[in-house]
Amino acid sequence: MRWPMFRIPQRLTKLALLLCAAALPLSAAAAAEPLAAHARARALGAFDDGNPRVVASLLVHPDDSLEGGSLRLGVLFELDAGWHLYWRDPGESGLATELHWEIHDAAVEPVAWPAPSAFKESEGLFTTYGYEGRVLLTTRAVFAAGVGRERIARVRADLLVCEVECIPAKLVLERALAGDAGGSSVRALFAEAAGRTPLTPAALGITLDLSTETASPSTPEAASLVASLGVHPCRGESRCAGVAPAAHAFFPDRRGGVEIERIESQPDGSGGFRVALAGRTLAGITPRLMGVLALVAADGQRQHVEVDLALRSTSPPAAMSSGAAGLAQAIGLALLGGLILNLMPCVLPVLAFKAVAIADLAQRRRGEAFRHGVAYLAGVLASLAALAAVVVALRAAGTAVGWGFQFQEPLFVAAVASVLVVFALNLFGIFEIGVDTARLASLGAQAVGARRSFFDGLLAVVLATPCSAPFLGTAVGFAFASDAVVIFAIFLAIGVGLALPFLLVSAMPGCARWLPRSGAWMPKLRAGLGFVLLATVVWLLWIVGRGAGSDAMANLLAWLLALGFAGWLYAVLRESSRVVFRTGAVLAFGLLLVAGAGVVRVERATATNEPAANDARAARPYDAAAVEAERRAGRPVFVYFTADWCLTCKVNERIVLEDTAVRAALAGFAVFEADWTRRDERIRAALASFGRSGVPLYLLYPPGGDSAPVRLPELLRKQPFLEALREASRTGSRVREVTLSPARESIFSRLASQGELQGSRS
Amino acid sequence: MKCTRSRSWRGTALALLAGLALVANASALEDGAKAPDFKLPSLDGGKSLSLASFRGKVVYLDFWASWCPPCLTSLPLLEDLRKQFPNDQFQILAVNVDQDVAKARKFLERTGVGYPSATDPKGRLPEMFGVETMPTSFLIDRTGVIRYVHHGFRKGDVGPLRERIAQLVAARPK
Repeated sequence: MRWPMFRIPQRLTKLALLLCAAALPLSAAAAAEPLAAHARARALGAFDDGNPRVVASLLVHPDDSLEGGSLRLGVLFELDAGWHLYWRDPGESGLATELHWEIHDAAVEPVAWPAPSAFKESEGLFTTYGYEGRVLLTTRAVFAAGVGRERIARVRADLLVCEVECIPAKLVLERALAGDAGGSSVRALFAEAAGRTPLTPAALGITLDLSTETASPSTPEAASLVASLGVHPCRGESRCAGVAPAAHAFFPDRRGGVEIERIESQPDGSGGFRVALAGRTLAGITPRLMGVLALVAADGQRQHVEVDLALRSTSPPAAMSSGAAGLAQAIGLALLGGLILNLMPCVLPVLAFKAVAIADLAQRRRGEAFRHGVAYLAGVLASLAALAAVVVALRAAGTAVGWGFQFQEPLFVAAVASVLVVFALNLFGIFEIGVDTARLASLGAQAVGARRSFFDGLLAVVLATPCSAPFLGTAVGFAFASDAVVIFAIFLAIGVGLALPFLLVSAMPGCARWLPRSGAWMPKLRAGLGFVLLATVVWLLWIVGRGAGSDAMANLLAWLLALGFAGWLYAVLRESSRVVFRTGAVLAFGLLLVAGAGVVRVERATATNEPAANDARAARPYDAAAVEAERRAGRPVFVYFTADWCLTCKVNERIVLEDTAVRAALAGFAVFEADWTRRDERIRAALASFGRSGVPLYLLYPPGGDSAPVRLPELLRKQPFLEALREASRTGSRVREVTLSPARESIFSRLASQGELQGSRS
Repeated sequence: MKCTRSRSWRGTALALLAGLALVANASALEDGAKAPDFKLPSLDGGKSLSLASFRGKVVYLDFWASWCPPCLTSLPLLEDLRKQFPNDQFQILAVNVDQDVAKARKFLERTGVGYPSATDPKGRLPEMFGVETMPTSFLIDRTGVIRYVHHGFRKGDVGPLRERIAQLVAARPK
């Protein structure tokens, strides 16, 4: 007898029972109330002898509305006990679950995959990754113009559910997106899914490094691969300090072109752990290690981290081991970076300063000149040591900071502006700082007082910190990921590099003989340089204005005026021969400062970093998820990390990024601006994930989610930049998406259609 | 609108197929039905395999795919089972439905299976046999009549399966 003769009635009976059950909430999660209004928002699938092994529901986050421009959507899969469906990479067997969305005039972001579970199948012979029980796969639909109209969301889910047999299912869900009040159970489901969705390493506060034993891991040829993923805990926070690997430490994702067959994790002896990975790279793609790292934090909470690291050793933190060799390399880079820092726009005012000093040094005795060089070095080192101490102290207190962080504090910027105004007034000859009157005889002599050289050193550091230079970013990035001793070592190495040119010239005054002899031109040049310092003050005022508003800027200007006036008054009275006037001078100076301080209220801005005046570059605020969405959508992406106080960044932006040809070339790119003007943990963490702790940082992502970003130099130049843009576009066209289930087996589609048919027939 | 690649042509084809299947009342072949004959290329690149060439022996026709974990469970167990009966009495014929043939070969190598496996990447044979879940296997007697249909696979299935095979092997053709 052919089975439909008796089986269909049997199936109908079962289905009738099931539909009755479905009229009641299948589970708290099913949120029957809102869905009842949209009959097709739920579908049954993977029929096994008439029993659906999976029930799918299309959910909309109850807190979202069309008026908001975007909606969080989710497909909830509820599986029979013992059955599971598969993750985006199913592992050694199984088929990836696919969602195909159709929403008119909306861009649907990639699915946010909750961390999967690992299943040992076939007596442990194969490992697969997926979900059992229930899982909500969420995404976000961003709507184009014309919000408020009734809209329909349609999604087709292609999936395979397995227990001791596998049943493909193709489920089509559809619902209106307007006017759904939703319920707390749906909200709870979205919250649960978000809680299981992996974070970026930066968001969790841990750092990762990847080392490979394969000779040339970046070649797009298939090759065996032995790699080691280092997981370094953060300090302070219980959720990321002292992390340990979970039972199944790593869920590899082959979209990166890497197939992992063996995973072993072991402690690294410094609070973190390393995951040894063995497998192979797939042909035709520049490989990246992609996947999800599962770990248990010190507080016992399970955490998941999205891993996406280039296998090629272009990333210096990845290439640098944490051992002595790595430290030596980092110190070398710090020296070189410090040296190059002298040429960065931030330090130019100080350099101008020193040019005068050098000219004067040329005329002096060797020993004296060298003393000034040493004093300058001492000033540089003292301020860098102080900076390192602050960084270490802040980190001990659980606050993560980056290079140049102090410029995120308006009060610090105000203080630097004050120092610069005082220096400028000094250069104008209005008053002298901290030198005894006996040495006032010659203006040339004042310029090279050893104490003055020390202060010049301090000022050089203060002005240099908002700048990153080639090699410096790498070294500082290494320092910030290391312990206190390494931070001090690297900061001091930067100082030595920064002071080295002046120190060398002072040690060999002969070198400076080519400079013009000091004479009457020197006071004039000094006055001229005073204006350079005031120009720097204009820049600092602009930073304060951007960060804390025009009132704060006006307050600061008033304070600077009071300061200048106090300085002048002090000088006038101090020159008097009468003691009472001299005492009065000090008192007047003090009083004016107090009065001025009362005027100053440079409050710390509470606003977030909003990109402004970047229309020319059509940049969107940096958002890792949006970057990922653009990459998946096949667009090349350019991300630039910047800050108003970063002069190198501003110079790059004005000269290169706003150039007409560059803007035209960037038209095909999705451009993101990560503005770090104010403290922003998200951006600090993003920088850290690229091994950096300061701006600028320029990243070019070829299209496709499986390609490595190209890191551009700190100082952009137009032609190489244009070439890099062209290369990124070209690379994208070469990058091939690795298909996990090539064209999805025809049997699958056919069986799935039968599943549908069976459902309708029953 | 930003969507994944459209597969509307495929949807149409599936709908047609589904419609045809409904009209033809296509369904899984049950015990008692005559197993339709077929000829398919061998997965290892050898000569073609046809069901008719096994006539006179008890045949276990097993549909499998590399994406189906329980199928992979069954491969080594079926290999053991095969060795428990004489070759001229009992044969296992596997039909692999992977589209990626290389993937299927890799799994065969890993599990060390010695019985022949045909390749049917277009999935014609599962359609012919009305296979709905994976793995599905058909125990066919010496005369080509399906005597038992087995769905899914777990380790404990081997014992009862051996019994059934033994009964069919013992039943001499009339």
